[in-house]
Amino acid sequence: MTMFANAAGDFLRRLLPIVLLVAVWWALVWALDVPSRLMPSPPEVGRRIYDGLVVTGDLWAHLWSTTEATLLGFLLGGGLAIVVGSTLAMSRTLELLAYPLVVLIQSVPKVSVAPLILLWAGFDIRSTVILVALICFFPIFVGTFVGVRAAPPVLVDLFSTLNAGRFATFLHCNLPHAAGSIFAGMEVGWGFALVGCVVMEFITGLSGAGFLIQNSANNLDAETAVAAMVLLGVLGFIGGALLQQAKRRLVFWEGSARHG
Amino acid sequence: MADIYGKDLPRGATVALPLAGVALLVAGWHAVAVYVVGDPTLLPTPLQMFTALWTWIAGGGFLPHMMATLYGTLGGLALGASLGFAAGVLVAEIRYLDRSVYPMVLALQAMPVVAIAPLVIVWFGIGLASKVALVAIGTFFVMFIHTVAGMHAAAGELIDMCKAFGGTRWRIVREVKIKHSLNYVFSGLEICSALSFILCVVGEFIAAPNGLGYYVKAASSDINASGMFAAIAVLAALASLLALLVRFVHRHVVFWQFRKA
Repeated sequence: MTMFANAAGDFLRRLLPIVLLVAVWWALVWALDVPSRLMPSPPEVGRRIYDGLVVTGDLWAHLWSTTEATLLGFLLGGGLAIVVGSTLAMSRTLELLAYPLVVLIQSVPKVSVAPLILLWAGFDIRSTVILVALICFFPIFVGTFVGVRAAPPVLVDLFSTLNAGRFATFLHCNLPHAAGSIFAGMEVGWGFALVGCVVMEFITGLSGAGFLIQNSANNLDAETAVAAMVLLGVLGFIGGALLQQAKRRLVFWEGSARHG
Repeated sequence: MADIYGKDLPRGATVALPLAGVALLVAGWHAVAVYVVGDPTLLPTPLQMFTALWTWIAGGGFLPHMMATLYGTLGGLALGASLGFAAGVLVAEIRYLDRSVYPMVLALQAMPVVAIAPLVIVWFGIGLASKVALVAIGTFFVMFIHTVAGMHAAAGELIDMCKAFGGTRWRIVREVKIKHSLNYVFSGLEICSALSFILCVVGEFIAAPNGLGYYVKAASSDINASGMFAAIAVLAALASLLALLVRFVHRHVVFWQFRKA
């Protein structure tokens, strides 16, 4: 019973800032008398979302294409980042060899390559997936690399005393130790992934929340634009919450220490 | 100590291997450009990229685009970062605001800030003003969050001591809390330095009369990959320079964090 009350209280406490945010937004729009073609009020946006999701259902297609591209790119970029990060962390030689490439990838503002990817992959979901993968690669790579290297030397020594090979040591010692750090990287990466998806949708103008925002802003239909932004925020929130939940389940031994 | 990472490399390897990496990178790029793609309008060789950059500079078309992007980025960064810092100090110091506004801003972070770009262009028109506004909005929130977190991180004992010695509120804020927050503030500024270029470029992708982002997008329509590579290289150099500058100032201002024990 108390556990349930705690969970409900926790949920309410999380919801409260959002309620406050909506209240401030409403008050500002009302007090400054902003025309709704520039900035709509919360009920107008709420009605637009309700219409788009329940009555006409025109938002679902865009929401789905954004979710699909972001998710695919996130899985691709994240998977690569974990594999590459682990490999480089376990081999100092490869790390030094790949160092210039890492610096290069880090220094380029990833978003600026979007038109280049469009030129290579065309007006297709592939372009979006590639940009998303490229953008969310780096935080997850860093999380993996730092986490793998941070395994306590005493434990690594113990493994080598017991004649464990490099791969066995990685699998049973370094990787579990890095899991928390990898999840932290993935939480940052999910936010980045949405950025990449939206930017590509701005440019390709095919479908998705980014397309919807730009297209409706051009038509001075700010209600739809803000509705799409709210949905993006929900996507970001759900992704972050799911990752936190997965982390609590998978990296359960770090939960109590980090939660407080 | 066991060495499973292979750290006992011969001396000189820490220099030779990255150099070999650079050589491999350039050679691989060149090989792919020449033998696999074979078309400089899709993928230029490193040399073709520099030639394109040089003719662009020599032709006089380069400087206006670079200055447009720099004005938008640095203007927005200066505006957003200083306002974010000031708001952060104020909010962290006033208890009611701290309890209400800070969680609100954290909740807002779930939304990718670039999504607001088309609306900002509707609000401020096509040109410098909308770029500055977009960069300022994005950097404001990052700086705000880092400043508030930094102000919270000030050690309670120091504040108590300051109070015991009769320090006024303003003095505690200035001498203890802001000084403590600086490390966070500069980390935030480093994030902002990358973010500001990204936001400016996105603004230029959507609608702008000039700027490096505008140029990259226009070059995409012209199927001119050499030009795109040149512009992206310049953007990377500018963003790295700004990040280095921030890190340099960070080390000098917050020197006690970097002092060797």
